[in-house]
Amino acid sequence: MNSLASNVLRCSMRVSLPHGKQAVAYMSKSITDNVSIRKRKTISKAMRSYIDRVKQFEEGTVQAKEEYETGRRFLANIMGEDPATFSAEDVNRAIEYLLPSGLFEKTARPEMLPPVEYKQSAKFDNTGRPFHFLFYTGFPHTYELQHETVKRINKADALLDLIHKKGHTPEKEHQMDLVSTEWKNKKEIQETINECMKDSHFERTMETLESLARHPMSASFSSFLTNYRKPVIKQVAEMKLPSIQLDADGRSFVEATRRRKHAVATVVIRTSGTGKITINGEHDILYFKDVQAREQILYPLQFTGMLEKVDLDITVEGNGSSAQAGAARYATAVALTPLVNEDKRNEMQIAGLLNYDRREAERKKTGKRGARRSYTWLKR
Amino acid sequence: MALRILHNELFSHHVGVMQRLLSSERVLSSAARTAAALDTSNPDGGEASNKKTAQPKIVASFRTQESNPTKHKESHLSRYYTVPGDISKTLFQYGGLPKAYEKLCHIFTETAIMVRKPYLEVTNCIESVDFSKPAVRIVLYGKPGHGKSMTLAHVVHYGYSAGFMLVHVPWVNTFMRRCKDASPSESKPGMMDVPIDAAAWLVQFRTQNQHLLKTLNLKTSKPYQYGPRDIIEQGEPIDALIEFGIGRAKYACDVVEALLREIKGFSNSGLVKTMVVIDGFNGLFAPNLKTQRRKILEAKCTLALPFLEITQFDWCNGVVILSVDQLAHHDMFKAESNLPLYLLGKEGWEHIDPFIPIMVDKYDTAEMNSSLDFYIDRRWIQHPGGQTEAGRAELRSLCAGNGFELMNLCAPL
Amino acid sequence: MSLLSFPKMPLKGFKPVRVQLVFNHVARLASSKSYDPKSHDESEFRQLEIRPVRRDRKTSSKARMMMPRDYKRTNNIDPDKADWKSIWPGPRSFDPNSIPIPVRQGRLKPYRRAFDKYANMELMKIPSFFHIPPTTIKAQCEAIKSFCTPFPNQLNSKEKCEEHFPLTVITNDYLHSAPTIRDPLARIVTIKLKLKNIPLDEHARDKFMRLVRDRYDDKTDTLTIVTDRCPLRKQNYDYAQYLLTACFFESWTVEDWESEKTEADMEKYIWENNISAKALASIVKWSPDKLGKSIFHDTLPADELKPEHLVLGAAVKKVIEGETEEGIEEYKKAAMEVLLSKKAVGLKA
Repeated sequence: MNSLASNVLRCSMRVSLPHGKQAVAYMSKSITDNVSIRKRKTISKAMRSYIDRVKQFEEGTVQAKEEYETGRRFLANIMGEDPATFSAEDVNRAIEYLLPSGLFEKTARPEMLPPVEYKQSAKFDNTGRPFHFLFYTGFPHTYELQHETVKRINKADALLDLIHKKGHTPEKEHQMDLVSTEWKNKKEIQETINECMKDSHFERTMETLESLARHPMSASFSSFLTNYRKPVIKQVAEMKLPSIQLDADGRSFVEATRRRKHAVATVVIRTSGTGKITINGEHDILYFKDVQAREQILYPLQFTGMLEKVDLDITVEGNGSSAQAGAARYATAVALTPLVNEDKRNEMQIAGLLNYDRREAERKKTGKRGARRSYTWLKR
Repeated sequence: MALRILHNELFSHHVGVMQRLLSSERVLSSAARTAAALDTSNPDGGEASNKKTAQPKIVASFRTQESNPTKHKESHLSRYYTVPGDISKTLFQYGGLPKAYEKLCHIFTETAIMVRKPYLEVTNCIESVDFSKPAVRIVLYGKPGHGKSMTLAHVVHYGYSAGFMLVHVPWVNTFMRRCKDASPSESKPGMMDVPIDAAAWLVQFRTQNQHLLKTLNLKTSKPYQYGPRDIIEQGEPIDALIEFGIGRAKYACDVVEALLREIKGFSNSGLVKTMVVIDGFNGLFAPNLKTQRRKILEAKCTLALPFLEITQFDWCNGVVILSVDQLAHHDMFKAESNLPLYLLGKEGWEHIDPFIPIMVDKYDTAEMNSSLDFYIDRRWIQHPGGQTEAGRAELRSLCAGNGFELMNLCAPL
Repeated sequence: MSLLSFPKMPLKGFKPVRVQLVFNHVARLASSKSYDPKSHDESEFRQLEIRPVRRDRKTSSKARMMMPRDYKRTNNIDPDKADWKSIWPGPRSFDPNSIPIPVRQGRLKPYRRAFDKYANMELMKIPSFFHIPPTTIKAQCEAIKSFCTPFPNQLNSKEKCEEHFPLTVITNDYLHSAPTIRDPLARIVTIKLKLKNIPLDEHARDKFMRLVRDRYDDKTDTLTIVTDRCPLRKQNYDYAQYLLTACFFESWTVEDWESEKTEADMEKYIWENNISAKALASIVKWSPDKLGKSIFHDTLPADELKPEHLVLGAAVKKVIEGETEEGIEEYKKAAMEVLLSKKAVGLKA
């Protein structure tokens, strides 16, 4: 035997055989023993590479966990803190301290994230036979869902036929209640069926589900359908209202700060007032030379009928009068919400008083004088 | 932009406009509603109609029948009185009321002025003045649109009714910032004359004081010579001096100076008591002169000097009521404050110190309601929404007590 | 001898997929017999070597240690007990093999995972502060403490510190992640001093404030001098001291031309000297024969000044120093008292 081989302490190798098959060769510690090659059942190359990849991945996950844990304990050590209570936020804080980056884009900064847990079970057994009957479609869960839905549609049709045979018409209770719930969006469906979907798949699936839901006999399949529906959140009822506070004089007041474009307005509404409006401490509503701007501020008060009943204290800055007035209007409306009843709040919501106006100045583009305006066309 | 609350009623407004105009039903404030039913107020001359009708009249709550300003007391506060037509013509023909309000008076066919607290303060001061002591200076100040000029107009009427000789400059910037014509002065080298404006002012003076000039025989105290053949002898009636100034505009500025010195002398000797009323007094201290064609002349105006002289305290039997206005400042857009010291500057302050400053504050709710009632009564607010309580509340909130702003807001309604 | 050659393996077409072998020894080359001139036999024919063959090749006594590819310093660092300040004593660029944290930076697409730390240019570019984490700073401070004296415990409040040490000198030092302590901003020296701590009479105080202008803050009574015109901190500090001394002595000196101070130069308003008092006096002393002479009288002597005159004077001073609506209201009341006859007093203002 060659002298080199005699110095090898431990080694395990995978050996590739001709005709694309592989065998596992194990070498024992002492090379003087006979090299035994145990030939297992022949596994296809694809299978083999899959198993390798899975193994690599698992080893990688384990390694990543270990690395993260080591890193965490190390950071706790050098930051002088207790490793037992050193959480992920503390890790981020330490990274920011040790590797400060002024990059504007936060996703471009250094980061140390805990390893993500992937729950992926094997899709086929060790012979290569897939578990799911639709595996080879590439989107098994999507198509399965469509199949299940169609099965239930057929069942529903059968139920409907039964009723028709007796000469009755389906009752209202036989159809599922669709008012309090709505369909999940693509992301949520993907999460439910644990598979990525194409847009076309999503549309098709939703059409199928919709036709089941709309079926007059859909009530018996409501448990199936509720998996793919979510309750409609009443935004207004769950709206977070600003708190009513008491000031030194015993008057209650509400404070709210809102924006419009780059203008920021802070509005303090004091109850039991006479309609006095103060802007930036020293001006009255005539701070706004524009009548429209003044109207904007008064509109929420008019809408809720509080026009000359509360005092307003507005601090506003940034942008121009229109943006300032819009910000003040939004802030006033929000500050009024705890002072009115729920019906009025709903009305305000419908009127659009409680919505943030996302419109912003459009950026100037090259080759144009503004955002849209081109340069003057010259013939020569 | 139409008022938000009135959007819903826009269509109904258009349809029913003629109906509403023709109907005698007008929506007034609740207090006036009952009175309105029996209201037969005659716009011209309340006193006259008083004598005509035998039955007792019930007057709208925003009005008062007392048209003699000397009799206006606290009970008349926040109510409109009507200036009798002939007096209005005499006093305000050449200015005195704010231009926009003058147009409204023409439309309403009456000159109505609201009795407000600053006016009562001024008249109280005037009544407390010891006329044997030097002339007392009173200065009105406040934000533009709160009613300084209207108060001064009221005070002019008071002076007229009380028998004062009126030296009334309705708006200083007429000749300081928009003079019709400027020529270098002969008597005061380095300064500019404003002949046409001075002559116009003399016409106004004559009109306002013609009743006094007729009854009192005022004579010049010394001769005035303006040219080889333009001589006013000593002892000539003062009317001659005024006529000369009107006729020969070239010497009008000098005539104004002479006239005001004569009047000072007359008051001092007790022949007549004088009331000097100048609106926008701080404009007299401008360092330059601006013509109507927007040309700035770097020289002082001679017409400012006589008015500065007569506002000094060195004469008795007179009272001086001035107003300082942000809009009269020579750089109107940069004036930050409405307070007297800022607007007058060092020179102006030292000229009239010590004086009594009176603030003309914004309209309070009662006064705003009164204004709105008046506009509704005069059919100025025709929009039905503007006549409802909610619409009125909106108007009150929008104008924030500024009378001028309120007037402008009601114009398109 | 290459790592991967196995000349006598029985299997054909052999391709090892992944080999991890640890070599501890290097096999010796089988060498041919070397030509040793001393042991040369005279009878043997001496060979001419056209290309000389290297003999006496020095075999390295030390086994040449080759760092294995997978060697990482981090494997030898115990995360819990490592004495980091000994491992990483000075500022250094980020070294992925020595710092046992799986930090990542930079991505091709926003939703992809960031690139790892090995051969990561971005991580090397970033200033790294592994040489001064909190534990190291603490240890260094502890070490320096032995060279410091304790802070005197009688100076236990801010007021006492200011009382005994009224002059505050402020300088900044700058730290970089590179091994340099030089920074051009470190030369700037700021001196703060409260004027109540230096003896100034009224004239000196006024002159001092005119000399230093807006370096003096009225509200906190603090003089702040910032010097940066010299290249060294010491020079700037000396210059600041010089400025302070010069201003102080200048303000105590009274020049000849100071007597020409006009009203426009006055820093505060004295009513008695002013035209306002003269106007009031003229009004009080006026009679109808003085028509046309406006301000003819000097200020009233003290015995003729009535209380309402003084109130008016105070109100005027207040207005001129800072005009507010309240000030004007006060002035109004005072003026009404003086100008109007007794009937006016009963009016509500």
